[in-house]
Amino acid sequence: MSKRIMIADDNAGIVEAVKMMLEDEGYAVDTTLSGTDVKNLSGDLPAVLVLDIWMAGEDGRDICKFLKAQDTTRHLPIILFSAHKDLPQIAHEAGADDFLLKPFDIDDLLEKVERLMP
Amino acid sequence: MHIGPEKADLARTGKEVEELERQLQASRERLQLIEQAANIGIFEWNIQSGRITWTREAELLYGLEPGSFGGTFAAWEAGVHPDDLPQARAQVLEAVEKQSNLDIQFRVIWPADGSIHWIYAKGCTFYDERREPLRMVGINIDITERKKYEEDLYFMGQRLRLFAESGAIGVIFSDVYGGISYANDAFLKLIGYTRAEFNEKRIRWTDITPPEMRLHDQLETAEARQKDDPRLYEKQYIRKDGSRVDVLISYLLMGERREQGIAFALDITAHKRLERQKDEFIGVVSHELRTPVTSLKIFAQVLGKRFSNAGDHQNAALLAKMDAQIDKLTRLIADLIDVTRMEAGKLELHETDFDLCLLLDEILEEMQRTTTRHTFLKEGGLEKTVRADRDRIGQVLTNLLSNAIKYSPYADTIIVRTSTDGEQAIVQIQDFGVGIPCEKQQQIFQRFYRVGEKHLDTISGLGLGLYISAEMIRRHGGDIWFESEPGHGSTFSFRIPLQRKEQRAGQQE
Repeated sequence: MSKRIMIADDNAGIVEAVKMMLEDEGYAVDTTLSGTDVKNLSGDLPAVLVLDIWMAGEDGRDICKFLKAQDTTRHLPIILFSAHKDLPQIAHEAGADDFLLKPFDIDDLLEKVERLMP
Repeated sequence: MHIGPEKADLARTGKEVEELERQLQASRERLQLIEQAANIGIFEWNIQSGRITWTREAELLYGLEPGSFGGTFAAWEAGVHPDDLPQARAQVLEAVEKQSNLDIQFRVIWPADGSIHWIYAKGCTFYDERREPLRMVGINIDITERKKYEEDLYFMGQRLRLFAESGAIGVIFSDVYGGISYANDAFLKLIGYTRAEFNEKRIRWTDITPPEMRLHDQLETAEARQKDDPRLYEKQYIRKDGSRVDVLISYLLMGERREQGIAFALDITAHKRLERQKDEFIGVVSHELRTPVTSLKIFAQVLGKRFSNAGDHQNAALLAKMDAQIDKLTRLIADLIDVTRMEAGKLELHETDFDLCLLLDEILEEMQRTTTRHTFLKEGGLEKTVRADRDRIGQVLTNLLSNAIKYSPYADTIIVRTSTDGEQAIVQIQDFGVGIPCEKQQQIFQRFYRVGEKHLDTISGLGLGLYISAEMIRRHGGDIWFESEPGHGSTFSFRIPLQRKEQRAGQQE
């Protein structure tokens, strides 16, 4: 079973920190700063996608809805994360599996990732 | 024997004369009564002899003792105000010469106290067969009151016009249904119409109000019809070119039916633009601050974990402290964002049913970790659930409790009371700290306000907590208040409806 997680956030500082933390816990981590990369996901999917809702030029909500509408990516678990206070609502509307309000405790992220792991 | 009838005739004539005299006396008395009651003075000027006779009332009108009028034209002139005399004299002589009725107004100065009174004089002149003037008969009436009223009215009108035309403030005379009977130039400039366009289109204030603001206008006018104090609030008008102008509007209704009113509109577009820029700036800054704080927090935690895993608990504890400080920073940023969103009207409540006491216990547990000096004493109980935004109410509790801790550095107890009056849940938090100076008590719910005592400079904070808390409670349909005694402590209380949804629906009906 793959323990590969993908982080998509347009902020390099956050991507780096989350990657480090997940790697410390023994996960393999893919990262991207671009929303387009996430939309083009196919074939070998990660086990969980952690997606920011403010991607430069692209809206994480739309990406989430798009992936949930494709047959190939429908079952990919997605965690939306953002500093947006209305995140619970946004995540629900976008069809995400879970959400995480920035800034967060790493244990919360680990727990959510663990739970969504296929 | 023909004396009898003569005698009889004489006797009858005597009776008739007596009767005539009685009637004359009666009508003289009636005339005098009228004279007195109406303050009418009668004059008669014998132009041939120059002799003038005044009734007692006429003398009183000129401030003279009865019987003291000199009886000459010069004596009359002496009583008239010097500024009015040349014209009054000319008008009298002209009326005589041109055989027209006298109808003039002038002021007189009372010799006793120097006071000024307005006299209205009306008279007509009688002539002989050669058209030589014989005498003028007429009346004088004191019109000081009326003059004063006219003057007041004139000045009031003048003041109102000056005010309406001053240019700085838009003024309209309007009714509560939208009609505008008058608009000054400043108002037309505000909404971008020329007077011709304004008149032609018969513009109504309801037509130039954005649709989403009409309900608010309706509520305000309904309130204005109930109460006498002026309404004062901000709204927008749609200008001719479709753009919007921010105004501060104030109006008063008058008349028995309270449908007519006078409204003032002050252009606050520049002020609002600045405010928006500032709010946008704070919004951007807050978001930009959050991003590095997020990664900072992750790094601190990752490092903490690494130290823990390696058995270095001392350094792990340091990083835990660092993490706590980052949380504090996060809360400050969150406050800034909340204020920005509240001011922009973008704050939404996510209501659920929850157990307020359970929430309070959670918050108390969290707060206990921030203080070693204070213990929380729980009193009362609340078994009902409330319908509200759990996070927001938690935020209010955190704010009030951290204030209680912050402002009672030398006390060791904080009392937390919960209760209900059947419809509302009530929470009270009492500290035994520095209290709030009386003169500061008015301002404490204002944004950026802090109890600014010199010796309290060491107490930190942005001064947003109470402002945000009050706003949150207000948006829940509740209220917040406090009692405080300087040197003895403060009790902050709030109450929120147990069942908000039903109540709100009920109010809208």
